[in-house]
This record gives sequence, structure tokens and C-alpha cells, in this order.
Amino acid sequence: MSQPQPPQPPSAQDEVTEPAEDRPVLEGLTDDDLAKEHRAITRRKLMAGAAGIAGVNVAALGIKRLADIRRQPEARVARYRVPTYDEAALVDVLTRGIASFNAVRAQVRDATVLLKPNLVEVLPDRPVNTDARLLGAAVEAFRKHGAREVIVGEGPGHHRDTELITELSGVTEVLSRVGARFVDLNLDRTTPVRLPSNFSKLGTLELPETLMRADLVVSVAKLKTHHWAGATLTMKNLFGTVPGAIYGWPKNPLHWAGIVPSILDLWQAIRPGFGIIDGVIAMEGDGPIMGTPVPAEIVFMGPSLTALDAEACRFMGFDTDKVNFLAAAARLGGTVHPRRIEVEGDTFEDLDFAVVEHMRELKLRPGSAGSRGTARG
Amino acid sequence: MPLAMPHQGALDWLTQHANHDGAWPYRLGGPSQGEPTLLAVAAGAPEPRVWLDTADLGWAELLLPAAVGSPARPTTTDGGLAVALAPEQLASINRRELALQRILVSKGEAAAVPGDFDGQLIGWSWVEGTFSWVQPTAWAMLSLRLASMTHHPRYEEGLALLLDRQCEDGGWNHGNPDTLGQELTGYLYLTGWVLLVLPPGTESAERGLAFLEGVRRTPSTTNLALAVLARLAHGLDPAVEHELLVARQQADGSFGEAVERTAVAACALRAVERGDCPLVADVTAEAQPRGIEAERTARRAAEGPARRAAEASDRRPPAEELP
Repeated sequence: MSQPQPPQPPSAQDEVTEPAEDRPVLEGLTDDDLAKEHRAITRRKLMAGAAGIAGVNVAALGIKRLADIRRQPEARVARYRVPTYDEAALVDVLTRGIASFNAVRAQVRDATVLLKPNLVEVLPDRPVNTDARLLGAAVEAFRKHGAREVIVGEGPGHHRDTELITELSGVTEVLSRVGARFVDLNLDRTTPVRLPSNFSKLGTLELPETLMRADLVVSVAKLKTHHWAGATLTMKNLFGTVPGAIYGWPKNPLHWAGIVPSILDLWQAIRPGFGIIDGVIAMEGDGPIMGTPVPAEIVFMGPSLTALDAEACRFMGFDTDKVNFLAAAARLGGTVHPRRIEVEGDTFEDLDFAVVEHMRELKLRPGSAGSRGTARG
Repeated sequence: MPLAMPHQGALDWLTQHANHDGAWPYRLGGPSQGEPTLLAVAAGAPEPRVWLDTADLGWAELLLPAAVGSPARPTTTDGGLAVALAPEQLASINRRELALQRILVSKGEAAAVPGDFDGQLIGWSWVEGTFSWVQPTAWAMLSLRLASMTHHPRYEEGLALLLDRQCEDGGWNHGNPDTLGQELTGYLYLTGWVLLVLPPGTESAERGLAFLEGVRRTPSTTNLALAVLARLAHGLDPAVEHELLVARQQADGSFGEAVERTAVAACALRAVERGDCPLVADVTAEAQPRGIEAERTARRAAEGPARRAAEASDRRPPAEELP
């Protein structure tokens, strides 16, 4: 019997092609900035010991990279210090955060908003899920901005007993209190959606009608490390939109097609208009389930999922060039580079999250064991 | 306040909420689907024979032979050989036989795995061309068991897979007992499905049943219903779980608007009240798992957690998923 090949997460270079449509020409970097960036890249390449590579090639690489960076749309990310899950404070922060994005605020008015949390399973003392109190606060915040209806929809990827997860995680109680509807996306009526990018080669996915009919999809993720993808944030959270009733538990065809291609395909097909990352209590180490809590006291918000995930990764101490799905998203025009992202809100020092051994290469400081929950700044 | 006749109440609700084609959706107003329909039929609701014979059931077809019964043991209330031989019944019997054939040819894929379990063991997958998972494997085995095919090599390998995937806590996760050196926890409802095909009296079954008592602390409709069925299959009194289940039934007979949830609860109620739910199979003729249990125990003892974790770190991501 031949040795079966396990599913492989592609590198950023695998199977990623440029989208057909023209991408916007982007401005914002001064010539001086570009020159500095060019010198830095060239220096890094040389210092990395790229012996045998002609200097002219190194320079060409640097120029291409700069061109790639300039093509990334400018984006803004708001981040706020939130020490606890106090619901009134969360409503205030989320309402302010949404208000700071004019286009989103306009989009919310009279809209059907679908909040897609990350609900996985319930393990005592492990911050696996988007916290129910933050979810309830998000419902209230979008209502304050004039949403016609705010629905919460999730299709847990592991656990079929959604009733149990929503009850034990507190989501049922919170949504009952705020009067919001929950839709189990695993079992929702579906509609076929052609994958515009089709990096996964799946061609078409059946996706929940509630998701595809929403005027605004908001990925409400948890700040967590992930032992295969590096991090699970607003983009990876989209796996939970794929209906288990068709693809099973877990949504295994996505993994056989490749985690990174599937993340990119879902991002391109669903195009969520806003993201929120719950990092009040985050997870480091062997995430997304068996990791340990980090009281990071932070909430990220913004309309660009790539920018959100990139800032969250940098906050965790990761090199975004090495986080495959972000590196690939950047090549598709997603905003990842810090020079293209304006960060506003409260000031934080970046942390240094622990990761599993084989993910150490993602870290800006690979030799560090990680913060183990000690927030700085 | 509990209904006087919980099973009949659930059955009436299901009957009232069938689609025009006689089958059931996951959610009211949705299209008819295989899983809720087969669970409703197993609960005693009328078989939508035309629909069952023509619909694409997808992976739910794995459960079809278990849910619609056999010519020798019809599951409908007006059963008997005469009904089994009626022309309209012959059609669904034919579909049942086709489903059994499909079960025998469909296989999960082998894969290198990052944990202390054997990714080369083949069971059944949700989707062709992907890894073997616990629930579809248990369903397929339940169907084979009800067709008296417990000595088929596929059944025996499926049993080996389920035993290999048992978590340290005695339950079953959706696929892995561990990953990257970390033990995973069992899921109650999945443990219930596995116990419906596990021979009684074995160490694995005993550990599984002990784990399943967790439904008393963390009850949900689905895990209580599966616990009732599993306990009955292993000759245990399900009174506590049954009482907790009945307490969740709504005045209209349903267990909420999730149709498959009401259907699986109705299966459990049928098993308690009438003793003839087809999902609770005769367990007298079984593949014997003792050798498999002993082999796995020895292998685990020989490989400490540290070694397993070290090996896992060198491997690529598995078919397993973590969101």
C-alpha cells in the first residue's frame, strides 16, 4: 500500500495566484519610506546569508516586495484596553469602535447584521470561545448604530451538540436577555457559492443562506494561537460558516484542500465587512483548544480582516511574513504590512505569546518561551 | 410539566411538521434532509418511502439501513411480514440493500496523524476522500450490525478504529483521542453513538458508559437521548437520563425547533416506552474486541506522552481539524 499523503498546509507561495481584477494603486508611503524599506529588506536578505544570490536579484526582490506593500490598501484598526468582561463597558467600547469607522456605521443602518462568533466547545478554565458577554455587547452596539436585525450565527466545527455549547458557554442566556436570534449555521438552508479565488480547488461551496443574505457579516473572533495555522482570528473563524450538515464535523474537506487555501477562499467568497477580536482573555500555547489563558485585556476592531489579523499577530509577537495565511492574503491585496495600517485607540506593548514547538519559527523572538500570561504595557 | 405520553407527543409533533414530501428538514421551513428524516423514521414516524427511495441522502445513507429496519423486523407500527412485502415497502427495502452495498465500498482515507492513534485504520468519513471519523463510522457499523454483518472485515476494522480512538476519559471525541501530546476530552453524544455498536461487558464499553454518566451534570437533549439509547443497549436502567430528557420536552411535544433534536429524543422515548427502537440493536453476535483493546493498551503503555509529543511535532497537520 502506498503511503498516504496527509493534508498539507500550503506555503504562502503555493497555489496562490494573482486575482484577475485590477487591484487599486495605493499611495501613502513617501519616497523616503520606500528607500528605507528597500535598504532594510536588502540588508535582511544579505544578513540572512543568502550566499550566491547576486546583489541585483536581492535588489529586485526588495523592489517587488515594496511594490507589493504599496498595493495593499490603507486600513485602520482600532484597539482598546478592556480589563474585564463588564458588559456595560464592552457595549461602550464596541459602540465607540464601530462609530470610528464611518463607512461601516453607514452600512449598519437598517441592515441585517450577522455576528459570527468562534464557538468551539466548553472546557473549564480555557478561553476557547468568543466570550458570550462580548457577543451580547456586540449585539447591543450594532443595534445602537441602527441595525434592523442582529443575528448570531455559528456552525461549530467539532461539536455537533450546538445546544450544549451555546448553553454552557452562556450564549443562550445572553442572547435570550438581549433578544437576539441564534442560527446554527451547520444546519441552515444552504446556497451554492462559487469560490472566486478557488485556491482550494473545491470550486463551489454550499454556504448558509442566513450568512449570504446578511447585509453585513461580522467575524467576532477570539485571540488565540493555533497549532496548525499559527493563529486563529477573524479569517480562520470563517471555517465555522461551512455547514457541517453537508461537510461533516469537522469540516474535513477544507483541511484536505489545505487550511490556507480554504481560509483565503472563504475570505474572498464571504467578504465580511467588519471584524472584532476578543482578546480580553486570550489563549497562548497549544491553541485553539488546549492552550492557556492570557489576560491580554484587548479588543481589536476594524473593517479589514487581514489588517486586524495582522495587528493581532504582531501583538502576539508573530512575524506576519511567516504566518502563511497572512502572507498569502497580502499577495492578494489584503492589508497586512504595518506601514499600511493605522492603529488607533489605546496604547499597548506587544506581547510574546507561547506557541507549540513547531510554530516557533513564526515568532519574532523564536528563542523566547513566551509570556505565559504576563501582559506588559 | 412532563407530558403524559412523551413519545406520542414527540411523534405527533414530528408528524405535524413533516414537509409536503413526507420527509423532515433540519429546521422548520427548510428542505427535506436525510438525517432528520431517518431519525424521525427510527422514532416511529411514517416512512416517506418515495422520498427515501429517490432522495440523495449523502452521508445520512450510512444510517439508512439502521433507521428503516429490515424485511424481517419492520420498524413501522403497522409492521409485520405482510407490510414488509407490500410493493411500496419493497422499494425502500431495495434502497436499504443498496445503502448496505454503498457502506461496504465507501471508506475513509488513511493519513499520518499527530497523536497516539492509528491513522491507517479505515472506517467511514463524512465526505468521500477524507479521513475516517467517529460518528459516520458508528452509523455505518450500526447499519451493518442490524444487517447481521458484524463479522464482515469492514465492521471488524471499524470496531478496531473506534477502540483506538477512545479518549483517556473513556469517551470519544469526533476523531482523535489526543493531538500533539495533549489528551482530548470525549463528547457525550458521540460516546452515546459509539456505545450503540460496542459489545457490552468490555472494558471500553464500561469506561464509555461511566463517561456517559456526565450527561447528568451537563444535560442537553441530544446527549440525554443518546445516553438513554446507549444504556438500554447495554442493559442498564436509563431512568435518570429519561427523566431529565422528558423534563426538557415542551408542551407541544417538541424539544425545540431543531427537528433532528426532537427526532433523536423521540427515538430514546420510543426505546423506553415501547422497547422497539431500531437504533438499539441486538448485541448477542459481535466481533470480539478484547484482543484489540489489549494491543492498544500495550502500545500506549510503551509510548510515554513525551515521546508521543516529540513524534507529533515532526509531523504535518492531520486530517483532524481545529477551528
